[in-house]
Amino acid sequence: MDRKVKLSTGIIHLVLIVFCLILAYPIFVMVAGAFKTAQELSSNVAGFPINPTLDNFSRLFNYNSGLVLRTYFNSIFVSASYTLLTVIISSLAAFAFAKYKFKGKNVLFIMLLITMMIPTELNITPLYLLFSKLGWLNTYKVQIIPGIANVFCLFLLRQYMVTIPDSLIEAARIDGAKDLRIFFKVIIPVSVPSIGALAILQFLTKWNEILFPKIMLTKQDLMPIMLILPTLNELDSARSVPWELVLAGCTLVTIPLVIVFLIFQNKFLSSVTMGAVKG
Amino acid sequence: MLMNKHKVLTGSKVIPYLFILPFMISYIIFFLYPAAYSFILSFFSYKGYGAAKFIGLSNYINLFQYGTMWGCLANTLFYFICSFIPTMIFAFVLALLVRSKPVKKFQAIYKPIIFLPQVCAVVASALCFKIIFGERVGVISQLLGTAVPFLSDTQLMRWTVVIMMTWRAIGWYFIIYLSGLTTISDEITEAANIDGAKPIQTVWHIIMPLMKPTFMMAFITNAIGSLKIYTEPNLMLAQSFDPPMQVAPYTNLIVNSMSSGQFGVACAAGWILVIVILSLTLAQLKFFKGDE
Repeated sequence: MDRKVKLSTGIIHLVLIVFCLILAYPIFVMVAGAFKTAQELSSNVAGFPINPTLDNFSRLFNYNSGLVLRTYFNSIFVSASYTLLTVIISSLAAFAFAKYKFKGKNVLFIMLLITMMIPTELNITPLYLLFSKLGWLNTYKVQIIPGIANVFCLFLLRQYMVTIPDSLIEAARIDGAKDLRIFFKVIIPVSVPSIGALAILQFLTKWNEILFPKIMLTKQDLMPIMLILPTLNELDSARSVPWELVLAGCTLVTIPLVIVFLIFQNKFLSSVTMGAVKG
Repeated sequence: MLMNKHKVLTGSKVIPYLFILPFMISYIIFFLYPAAYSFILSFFSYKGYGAAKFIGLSNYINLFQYGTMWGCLANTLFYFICSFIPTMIFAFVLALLVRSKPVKKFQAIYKPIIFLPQVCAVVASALCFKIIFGERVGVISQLLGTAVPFLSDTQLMRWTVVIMMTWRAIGWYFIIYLSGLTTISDEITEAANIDGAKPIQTVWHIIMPLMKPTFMMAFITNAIGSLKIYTEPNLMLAQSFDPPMQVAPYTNLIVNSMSSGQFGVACAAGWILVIVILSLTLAQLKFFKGDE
């Protein structure tokens, strides 16, 4: 019996290890490829780099007078500002929906939940027309502001804030705190775990966004890096794609996130389950 | 006290409205108004300038008679269904294995590795899979020693997208299933064990019924996400952004209609997608509630 248990444990580990290797392999190909020369890549794309070189990264940074670095910072700036704004306005609204009584509250909340079913892709066409009239095309604000009213965030934060005991708020009120002060000094500190998890989710969504900026932007130096990476091959001749540069770029947008993920693993993973368990 | 419970913050009648104001304003300007506008515009012919002309249901009728619309819709459904099945099976089995008693203490090692593809940017993963399936420098072509036309044969192209979607999605649903499994106490499964149930019986008759809400949530979010797919096929199957229409997802129909100046058609195409998503969601809800 004991041997049987050991055997099955061994098999489970084996299966899991094989799976983990398969799942991690594409990322390995990417990172390893970023350190290979063009010649090495064409003969050895699958394995470890034999003579690792940082040349790809310096070529990438000099490409098109620093376009890659510039758009890299665009991405960070846009994703961070979007996340910050989303979290602020959603938590303000979530606080009102969780802790106040006001006229029209339930109707409004249900209405918001129903419209959550409508995908935002629907709005690309009218938003394009709207922003071309407003002159917002090719700006940072067009990348940051639409979408900050995120019902999903509002809903999850409200669910969380409802569980905050009223006595905490009462105590602050007795101390003479005004509503906005209560929000910042009592509600926000208590909600930090769920706000943090949501912020990660929002950041990743914006970081990965392609369709919306592709439609709203034509000026390369305002674009997020995700729109530049797929076009890196175009300056070269149509037949030869500088894959080592593309892979270096992919590594550039992936590795910082992987490091942050490994440090704040639990936050990341709880951002996934938050919607699942509470929704 | 009981009466006071919900009156903690009723000091002023205006304050709650001030709190929701920023949210509601941006919600109305950037969501409600465009959604209504797109609904109205879907009954018009509009080139982006000049006057819009009311043409009734023509945009919808033309789309329904347009072979490419059905082709793109079929592609999107293909990507959805073919990635949905392996994703859910692998994610659930992996969650069961990682959660199983002898392996549990190694969770901290397996969990982050399985989730890792999710942290990898979609664009980076798509480009990376392009290298893996590439013909000239492709990993598989190099390992096999012969060029396989993964990215030029229309049938194979579709499957490369499915493989990439599955690879990325497994980690996400694995975490969701794992958290669902942790809500089931060990006592229940142990009791089944003592009663002589085989592990597979325990999973089928005890764990899976208890996980029903988790499955429902996972299935619905996966369907909604997959039906809106854009990045993966467009980056993997095209030189930069425009893949052949035989493999293009539905979202490309909206984008192409826009870039050819047919804004009314683009809106109508958007609303057809909404209807597809809604009916699929309702069908899933019915499927899960139906056998209760």
